[in-house]
Amino acid sequence: MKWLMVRIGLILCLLFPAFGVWGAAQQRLGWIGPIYKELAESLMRGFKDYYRRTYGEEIEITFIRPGGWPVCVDKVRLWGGKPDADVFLGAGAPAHELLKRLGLIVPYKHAHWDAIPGEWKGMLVKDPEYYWSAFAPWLVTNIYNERVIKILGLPIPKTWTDLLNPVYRGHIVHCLPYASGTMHEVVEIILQTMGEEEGWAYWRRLAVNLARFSTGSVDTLQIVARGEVPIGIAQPQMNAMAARKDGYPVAALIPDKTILVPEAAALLAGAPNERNAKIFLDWLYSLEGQLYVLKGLYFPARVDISLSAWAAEGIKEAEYAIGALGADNFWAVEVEPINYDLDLATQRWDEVNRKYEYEIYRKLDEIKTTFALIEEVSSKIEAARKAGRDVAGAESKLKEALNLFGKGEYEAARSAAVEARDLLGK
Amino acid sequence: MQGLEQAMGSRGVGSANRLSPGWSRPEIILSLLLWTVVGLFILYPLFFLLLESFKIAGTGRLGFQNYIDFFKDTYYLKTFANTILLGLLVLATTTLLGLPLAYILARYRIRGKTIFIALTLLPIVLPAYAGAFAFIIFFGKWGTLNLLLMEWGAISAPLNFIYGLHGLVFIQSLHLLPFMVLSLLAGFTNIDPSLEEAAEVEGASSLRRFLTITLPLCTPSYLAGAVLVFLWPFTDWLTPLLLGQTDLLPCIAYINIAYHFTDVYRKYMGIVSVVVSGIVCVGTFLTLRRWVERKKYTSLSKGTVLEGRIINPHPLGRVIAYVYLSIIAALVLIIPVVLGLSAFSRRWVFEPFPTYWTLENFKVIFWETPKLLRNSFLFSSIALLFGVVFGLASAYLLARTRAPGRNALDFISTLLLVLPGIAIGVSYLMAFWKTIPIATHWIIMPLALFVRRSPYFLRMAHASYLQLDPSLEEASEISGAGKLRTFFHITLPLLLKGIFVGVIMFFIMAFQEISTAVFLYRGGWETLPIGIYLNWHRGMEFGIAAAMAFFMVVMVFVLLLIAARIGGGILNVAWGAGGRRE
Amino acid sequence: MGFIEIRDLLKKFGKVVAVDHVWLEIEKGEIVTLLGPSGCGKTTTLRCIAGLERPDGGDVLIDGVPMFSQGFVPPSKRGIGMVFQNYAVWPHMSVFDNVAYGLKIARIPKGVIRQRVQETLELVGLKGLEHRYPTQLSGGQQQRVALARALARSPKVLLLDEPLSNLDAKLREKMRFEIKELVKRMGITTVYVTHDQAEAMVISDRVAIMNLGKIVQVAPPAELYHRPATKFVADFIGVTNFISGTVVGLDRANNTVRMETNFGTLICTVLSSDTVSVGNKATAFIRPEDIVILNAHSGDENVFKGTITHRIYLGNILYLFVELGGTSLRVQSLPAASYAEGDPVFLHLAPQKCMIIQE
Repeated sequence: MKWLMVRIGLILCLLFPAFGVWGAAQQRLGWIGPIYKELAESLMRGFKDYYRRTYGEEIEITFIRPGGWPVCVDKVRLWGGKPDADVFLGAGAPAHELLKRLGLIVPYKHAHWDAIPGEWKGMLVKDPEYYWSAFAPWLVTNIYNERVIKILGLPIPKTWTDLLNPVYRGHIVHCLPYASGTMHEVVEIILQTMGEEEGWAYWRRLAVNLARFSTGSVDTLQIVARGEVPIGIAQPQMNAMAARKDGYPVAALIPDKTILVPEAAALLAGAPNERNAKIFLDWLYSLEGQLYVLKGLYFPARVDISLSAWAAEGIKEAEYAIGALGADNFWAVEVEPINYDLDLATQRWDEVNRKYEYEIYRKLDEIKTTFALIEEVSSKIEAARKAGRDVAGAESKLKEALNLFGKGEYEAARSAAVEARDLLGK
Repeated sequence: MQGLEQAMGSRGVGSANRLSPGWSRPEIILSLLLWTVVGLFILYPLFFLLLESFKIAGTGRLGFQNYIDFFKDTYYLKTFANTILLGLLVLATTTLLGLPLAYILARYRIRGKTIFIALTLLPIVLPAYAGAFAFIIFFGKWGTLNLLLMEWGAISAPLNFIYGLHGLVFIQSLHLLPFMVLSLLAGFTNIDPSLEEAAEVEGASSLRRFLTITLPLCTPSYLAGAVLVFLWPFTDWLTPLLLGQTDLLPCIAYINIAYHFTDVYRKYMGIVSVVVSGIVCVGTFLTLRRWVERKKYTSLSKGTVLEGRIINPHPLGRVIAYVYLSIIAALVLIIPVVLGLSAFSRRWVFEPFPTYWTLENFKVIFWETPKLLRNSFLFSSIALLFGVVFGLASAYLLARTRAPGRNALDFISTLLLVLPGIAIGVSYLMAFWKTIPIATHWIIMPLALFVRRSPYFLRMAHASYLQLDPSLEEASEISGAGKLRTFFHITLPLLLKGIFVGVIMFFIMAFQEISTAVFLYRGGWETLPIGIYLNWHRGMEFGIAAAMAFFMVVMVFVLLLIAARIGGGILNVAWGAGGRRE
Repeated sequence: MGFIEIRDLLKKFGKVVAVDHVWLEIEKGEIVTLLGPSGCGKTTTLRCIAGLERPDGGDVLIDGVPMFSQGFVPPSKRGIGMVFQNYAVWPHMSVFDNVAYGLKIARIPKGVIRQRVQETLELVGLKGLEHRYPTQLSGGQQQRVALARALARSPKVLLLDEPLSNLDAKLREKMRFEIKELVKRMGITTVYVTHDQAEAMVISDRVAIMNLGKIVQVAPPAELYHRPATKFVADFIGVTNFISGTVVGLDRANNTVRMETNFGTLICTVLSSDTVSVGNKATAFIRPEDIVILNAHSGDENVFKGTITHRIYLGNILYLFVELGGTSLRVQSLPAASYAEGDPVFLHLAPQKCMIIQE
């Protein structure tokens, strides 16, 4: 009897693998990219349906998201011309320019090329040589947890400078620039608009307000959604929308300086399923494809889309989008993005990552204590000034300390602050 | 096999006095085969990894520069120190919590003891990250506990229970508690009662007896558990990552390798981190093992007994014992309960308990993305096949022959238990990419699972074999059966219990493996744990991740029950050698 | 040429020599016991005969066929039956299947198997129990199953490795007889291993006493008892007294020796007068039952006076320990004797019973 059971068991075990081999589809398509799961799933659903309707066949689609776009690009490079996927789906201009330069993508003028604008407010939306074009544009935003902000009684930060306010001490979270393309772009935004020196000083001062670092932009979203930390930096515009859908009280802020991220698609060089990839790209930019983009909670890129018309047809997501954009079409949004020097950013990519990591991430404790010391001396100076004493010397010394802090010379900053305090004592 | 032996024997009478001392040709062939597997799938990738770590970043030349850079960098040193500190903290916590627990379970007569034991042991078979999820939901700033406490007016602002070192220590300790308790239990129950009775007769009070007799006699058993506990933080990269504590060796190893983008230097720092973790784990284990082996106090040949000397505690003591057991049990139960609540609901935010119940999460898993389930079952089953064949052959070699190389085989299999999963994952990724491109085929997944989890089956099989009286097999041979027939008709049926338990343990551990799989998977090869990770950490789909985790927990629990029923007793199942002596 | 021949057998375990160049011939139909203390090499020798150990040198021949020197003959091909110390009865098979196991392998037709198994079970006294499982049987019954299994195939050779040591005393005695009778009836050449000398004496045609890997003496039980070759054998078999002294006189014609001891001059018999010389130290032995107690000096030689120091009553035997001039001798007496401790007695040690012995 026992032997019978063992034999049955063995047969069942042998069947399991067979169960796996069954169901291998004939048509395939592979994506790699940093887009979020909802969008990927929506597009999968839509395209599978389209493919079935148009070609009468089932198509199996795989999507991998190894991480933010730098990680995705790295993976493509690792494949070295023999990619495991066909389409690089997502990421903005920096990524695609890099892919183009490395020869990892090939040009393909899809069927709806003209429905996508060439550029917007000075920013490139599609590559003039047909290598890539945006299908789901968005602005870089910050997010906050409405409920927790209200409980804590914090004002909503409208500008980047607002974020430096000591009232936000311990209430901000963001990830490291090497972990997220979006975060890196935000670092660049500050560096380019404030100038390098001022820019780095800004990041050091913002670090003082950090509760901690997250491990990626999705982690930032999660932390803010759960209310662990109320404010999160560097998020795609749609994230708040997605979190809201799940019931999290997250809202998005378009800061005073932001850039457009034209989330784009490109055909990989040496794609194993080139035909299917081209069919997909053609579909993606069609009205049907763009509708599925919207259903995936991203904003569609075609100039001829009217969100209100779709909303009128009962498409819920169109309503959300109108609420988030405040306009009928993405390109009509009232925002002035900055002029982003893509080449400069690409050139100093590693350098910026490294500088941030070594000078800010690894020295976070030191930064906080140094700045605390500076603040302490500053309040002493204020008190002394109110008492009518002469604070000129101390003030200038403290300014020097702040300067040194901004340059990253924390120890010198501390000594300067101590000197300032001593001057006060006299 | 007989034919081979006859053929070998035509050497003539002169060789009568130069016979080989007990090795036979088939045994040597078996040893060679097993060593080929070990060499190709364990030694080669690890060696490749080690070699790679000596390639100076970006140049391809060999040298120590990577290591010099690593150890000169104060940040990496700090990371190293943090990991050691974490290990010590976790060790201290599990010891403090585990000692009373083990003592109560070993010595007191308590009602419902089996249930308490089962609950205490539950975390062994749950993946560590399952606990992390559940605790984040339960103990988070706006999680169940904080919300309830605020509702009841106990606190006015939420407390930070888990985001920080203390939280990490707590979660890891709870996950590791069973290992510590099992070790201590084995120690307590295997002490010959007469040793303690002698002390009592000599006039020692119970506290003194405990401190001077009982505890010291437990030391080897304790150390066995302590090693596993201490080394865990060197391999757990996921839990700290979930809690935002990244300044630990395994975390930076993962981050540096997975996120290095164009920064080759960072990648090599990651590789060095992996190698350093590996060396620490292996080195610590070896050192302690030698020490433990030299001081064997309790006879292990008795097998694992469920109860040692029983004491009837003071009524107050009994109450305290119950309370303590219940607290631990409650903490452990949080995991499956919270996962369950999350699995069956959506939109569970800012409220202590979910209000919107739905089966949609499960729908997604079973109907819409069955690929994950299929992959997990497929890979685990194939890995199991490899594991059983390799394990049985190795167990036979170790227990019944004196073939060359068997001790080294045993040694390597034990090492695999302490080697961090990242080491295997990364080494496989590198070693099997260009030169032997196995990694381009999905077979690499079950292969890696098999290698990583092989000790779970092998040790069980080996222990079962050791408990099998060789004369049973010898009698079969005398009766005319060849070695193969003896194996299938006598050995296998008698080992079946132990083998079955080993199979289940292996399958459970292979199924929930993530550290290695996460490096090797490509599109379409995701397993359930990877799905959980992706859903939790890279998307907002808590409900789906929880549903997946919950499914896995339930499945593992059911398998464990089956194993317990067949293997005879939960304690034997989770720890001891399967197969009772008749 | 014996049926089983052990030639210059050598077996080492690491540095320890377990079987040290052993030679032995066993005739067909003989029961030979390997007897000795634990660690003497008897079990290892047996296992070499079985093929469960491979020697480092030497050979074993069964019915003229070498088992090692011309290619290793595995145990399954030697046509032997073996009974293990712990029975080694397979718990997952019924009694019938246990006994039939070897017969199935030999591809004997089912009907014949059934008959053979029934017969064998009846032979060992287990009739009717063929469908029971070993866990349902007592120790003694399991032992019989093991025996039946070994005998079912009518082996040329039967090996028994301390088969009775796990049974209680009464059962052991009973089984000794049964095994001997069975084996003799079937005419199987048997090699028996035990550390129990009483068992060896009962069962064997000849006994080979082993110590430290060597065979010390091979002889029928009576000869072993009365003419032990060394002190070791004399001490191992039965109970004995040793008397040491110095040789003062030698009578080659009668093969006697005069030995000066600390209680007087003792006349002893010597097997070969070549082995002793005047002036050397020597040891003699005498069995307790061969010492006669006298109330008074009879005037013969070898009569000495002593004092009773201990009295040990065993029910069927009375042992008296008598002290003479510094030496304590154990004397066997009738239980009814009324000797008391402290009584003076005279002991007569008959010269023929006092034997000089080698170390």
